[in-house]
Amino acid sequence: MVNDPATFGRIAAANALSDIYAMGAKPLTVMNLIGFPRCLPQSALVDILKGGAEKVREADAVIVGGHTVEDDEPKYGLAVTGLVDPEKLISTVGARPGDRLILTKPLGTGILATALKGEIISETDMAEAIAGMQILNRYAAEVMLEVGVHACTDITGFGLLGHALELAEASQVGLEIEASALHIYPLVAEMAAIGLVSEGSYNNRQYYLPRIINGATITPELMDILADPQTSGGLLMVVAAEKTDELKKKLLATGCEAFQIGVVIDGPPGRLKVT
Amino acid sequence: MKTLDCRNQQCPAPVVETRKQILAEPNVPLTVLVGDDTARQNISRLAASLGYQVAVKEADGGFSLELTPGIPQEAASTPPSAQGRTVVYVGADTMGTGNDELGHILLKNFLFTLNELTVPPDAILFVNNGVKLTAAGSEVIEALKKLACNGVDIASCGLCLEFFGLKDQLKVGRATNMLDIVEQLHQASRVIRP
Repeated sequence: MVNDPATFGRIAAANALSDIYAMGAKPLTVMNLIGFPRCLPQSALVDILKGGAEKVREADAVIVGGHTVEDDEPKYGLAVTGLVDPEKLISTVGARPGDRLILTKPLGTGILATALKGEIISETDMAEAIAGMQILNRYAAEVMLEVGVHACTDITGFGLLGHALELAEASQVGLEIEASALHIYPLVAEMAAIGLVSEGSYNNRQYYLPRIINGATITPELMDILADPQTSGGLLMVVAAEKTDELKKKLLATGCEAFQIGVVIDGPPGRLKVT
Repeated sequence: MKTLDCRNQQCPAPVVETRKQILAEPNVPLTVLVGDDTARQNISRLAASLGYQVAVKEADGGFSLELTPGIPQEAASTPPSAQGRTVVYVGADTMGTGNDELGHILLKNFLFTLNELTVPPDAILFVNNGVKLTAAGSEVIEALKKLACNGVDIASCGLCLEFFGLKDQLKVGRATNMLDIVEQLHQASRVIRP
């Protein structure tokens, strides 16, 4: 993902905590899960854990333990337990026709990570995305709880396409996504154009394409963005039309992004249209 | 034909290795063997973006991609001017930092030498102290006139000329405004700042 161990740790932690925030919950305890090769210096392992701990502290949660296993390449994940009043739990169920879709981070981290791995770009070139991936979805979630939304999910490995479709399926609604409203990190389009697209992206498009109403009209460039697997992506919030401006205003005031990327439409359920 | 075997490589190595090979030896046909569909699609896109034709054949356990340069040799070495506008931005009357006297001489030489390019820049913009080079008393007026004759747009910041009291002293090219300067820089494919 990235070469700096502490940054890697922070991104992994922000990514792991994200699910809890998407549900409107508060993280309480965290277990570290680490895979680490013997050939790397132990200081890197310490730095990964320090980076993770930093984000866990920012989340006001506590690390209660964990496991370390020998592995061929460094891996770090966190198992997070959170607390939420079942009455206030936010899920992928509840989107209603006419609701608006708000996304809180730009897209394209998968393409940039592939380009970085291929040494076509440096970490400096993708500084904006590296910063974005370290941002906790906590702040966006706090605004979401204050304003009130109908549904929410976080955008991770299945890309915007996959997670939006899962939400449409769960809520039994259709979604309309506006291509021109999608925001990407710098260099994403350039890197996709020269074929730096991850295997996950092709898996995503293959699996989800049949559920796109106008799949045949989507250009490869747009598909790259829709299907790109995200690491520590933003929250996709589904909000009543009349609360949209308030939500966007408060997100922006908190320092979060607030891209209005589409609307919920009346069926066909579990399908998505890109305009 | 050169063959690159990427069958045992993991994404993104096949596309990265192919790109390296193409950049190292441009405009040479190349065959790439890949083991999976991700590599096939990524390399096809890379090739298309670099102007290559791609022919895909299923080979045992994967694909064989034949990449043929689609653009003729001469098009690949098109002179810079054909690839968008080149704008030279002169924001001072010296070149580089260190010694101003040396800087004056260097900038003078730079502007003289522009005349020796086979394809001159599209425009030269003079801003701040740079306008002293297009006004009376400058030693490069003749060189700039020669460039102007070759179609180079010589433009000096009007506000800057006014500031230095040189408004009536402009000897080559035209006076311009910030909107034009911003647009010229924004639309340029490359901006050269001596």
